[in-house]
Amino acid sequence: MSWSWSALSRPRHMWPPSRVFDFGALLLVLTFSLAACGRMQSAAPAEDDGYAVTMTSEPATPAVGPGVLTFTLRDPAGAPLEGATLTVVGNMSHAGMVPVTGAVQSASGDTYQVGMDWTMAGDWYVDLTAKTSDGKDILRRFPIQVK
Amino acid sequence: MPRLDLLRWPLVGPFLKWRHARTVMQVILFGVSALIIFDGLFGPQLAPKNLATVGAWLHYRGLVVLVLLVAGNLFCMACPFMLSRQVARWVRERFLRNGLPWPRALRNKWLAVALVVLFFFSYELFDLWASPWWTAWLAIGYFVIAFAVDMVFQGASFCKHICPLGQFNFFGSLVSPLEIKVRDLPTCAACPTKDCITAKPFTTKTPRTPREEKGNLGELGAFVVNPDARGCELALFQPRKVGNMDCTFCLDCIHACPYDNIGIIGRVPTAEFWDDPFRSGIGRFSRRFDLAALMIVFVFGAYLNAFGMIKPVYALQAALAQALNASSPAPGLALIFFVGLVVLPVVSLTTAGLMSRALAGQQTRPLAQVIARYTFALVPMGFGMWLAHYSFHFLTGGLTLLPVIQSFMADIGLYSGASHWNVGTVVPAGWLFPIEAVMLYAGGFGSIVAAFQVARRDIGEDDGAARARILGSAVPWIIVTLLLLGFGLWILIQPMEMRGTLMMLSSGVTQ
Repeated sequence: MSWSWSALSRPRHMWPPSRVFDFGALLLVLTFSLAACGRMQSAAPAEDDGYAVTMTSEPATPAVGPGVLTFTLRDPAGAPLEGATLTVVGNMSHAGMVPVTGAVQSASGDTYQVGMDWTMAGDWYVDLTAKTSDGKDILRRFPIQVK
Repeated sequence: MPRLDLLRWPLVGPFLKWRHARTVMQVILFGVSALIIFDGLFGPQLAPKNLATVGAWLHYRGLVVLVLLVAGNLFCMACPFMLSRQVARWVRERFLRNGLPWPRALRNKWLAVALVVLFFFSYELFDLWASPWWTAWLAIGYFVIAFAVDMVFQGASFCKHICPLGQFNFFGSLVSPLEIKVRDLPTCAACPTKDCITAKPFTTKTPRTPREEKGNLGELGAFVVNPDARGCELALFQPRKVGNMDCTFCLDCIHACPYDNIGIIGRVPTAEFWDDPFRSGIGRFSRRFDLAALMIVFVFGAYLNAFGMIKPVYALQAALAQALNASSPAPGLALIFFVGLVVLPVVSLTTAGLMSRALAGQQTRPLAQVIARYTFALVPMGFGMWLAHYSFHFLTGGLTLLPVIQSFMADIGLYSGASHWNVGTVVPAGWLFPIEAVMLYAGGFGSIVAAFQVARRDIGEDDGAARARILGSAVPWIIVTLLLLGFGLWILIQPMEMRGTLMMLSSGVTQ
């Protein structure tokens, strides 16, 4: 049986295979087309930008409650990166958890201390965005476990 | 007092009786599924920021238990995986000589039991809840398997014998306040065609029935034959159907009945298993050990699943890994599952069954039947644990859907504002434990009532001596219920610890 849109006027059992399927397929295509416009950029991994960024925690394995993260930033030449503006956000590995935003407490040379208030034990991801004085964004994601 | 009948409510009733009602709901959920799959595959691989993980593990699970509690199996009604059945059926009828009947050896719930256990185990082992990518592939796999099974096998084999989500809905719908039910049994007795089970859409190969499409059969009143309708594909013959087990709320029987004699009727939750009649498409609960096993997996699985989210389980897993000298968490997890889903149920239910049988003075009754019969009484307690657990996640993070959608819309160019990542909780944090505790207590209460009612109907008499036997028969199951309740409360007061897939995301990260 050949298929055409006129087939939709036939009784339902004769639709090959069904209008429902066509709607679904159309919806799927539209969704993918729309989403393909830009959603993928969110999943892009940290690019190899040459900057060296390290993160340490105090205490080393943080507990639920206040804690401090220390970041050191060096540029591709190995020189300390001073004057960067840091945004630090912690996300849990589980859906439905509100992110925790860090507060920069001090900055000295290439070392930046950020206060965090860990709200639950488990696996966290710390997303760092460091904006350099010349406007470049350095993005990093650090896994950390909270006890 | 007139019975509550959803189909006689304004707006809701006419909508559900509209022949495309289910399709509309399915298309909506199909669209949601498509978004989940796309974002899971291509979106940010961070569970709290991805539609796949937020949608599937937070909202779907939270809403499904709440809807089961206040209404019925509405998620099976709107199941998007069944949209493809139209296509599968078309392929089957044209190219596979109308397909195969589901194998006789598999016409039970044992395969479903195995799949549910496998799913629970994989969920913990691979931290499925933390991986958008795996969540998307799970949904894709579901679509593919549902399509393949429906293409090869006749009827609703996937729903009845395979689908783990559907089995959970069957389990949960035992405590639902609504069921699809005949309004007037004498009408069914006089019905000459039994369309609710026999109807098939009129096709060129299966011509119209000899009778008119509209007419009047005297006592039966007017009838209207729906040429597109099909009878129940899960083999539930309405006049002999009891309760919600195996009912997907697909509405086929409602659309097929020429006399408009089937409704979505209000009832006392759990009352369907107080008695043990022969049920169409199922048989007697007390003889269905596969069904009892499925209920046991869901009851004890509720505690195992919640146990997997609290701090002590990680210490236990670490100790087991050391004791077993294993580098992988799998052996330790398998041991926890074996204890939780086999050892504890076998010990507790066998003990309760032996005591119950002895105190009821029914020593000659097969123990397996006693256990199978009373296992259903534990369903409210198990459901209470699922409800408390899933509600916790939903109530703590339900509003995170808003920023996730904002982020999604921003990425595809349909939203230019900031995502409000600071919203999340649906209720104040201080309300969570009381709400969860109430759910557990309600489950416990339901199980205690059910145990008494099952005992009352099993003993049959109602004099002084019989009352002692009823009490004796019910008490062991009430003790099991209280133990589960206590364990559930202990789980709820433990600090949560949510581990995930740190290793998966740490690749390429400078630290």
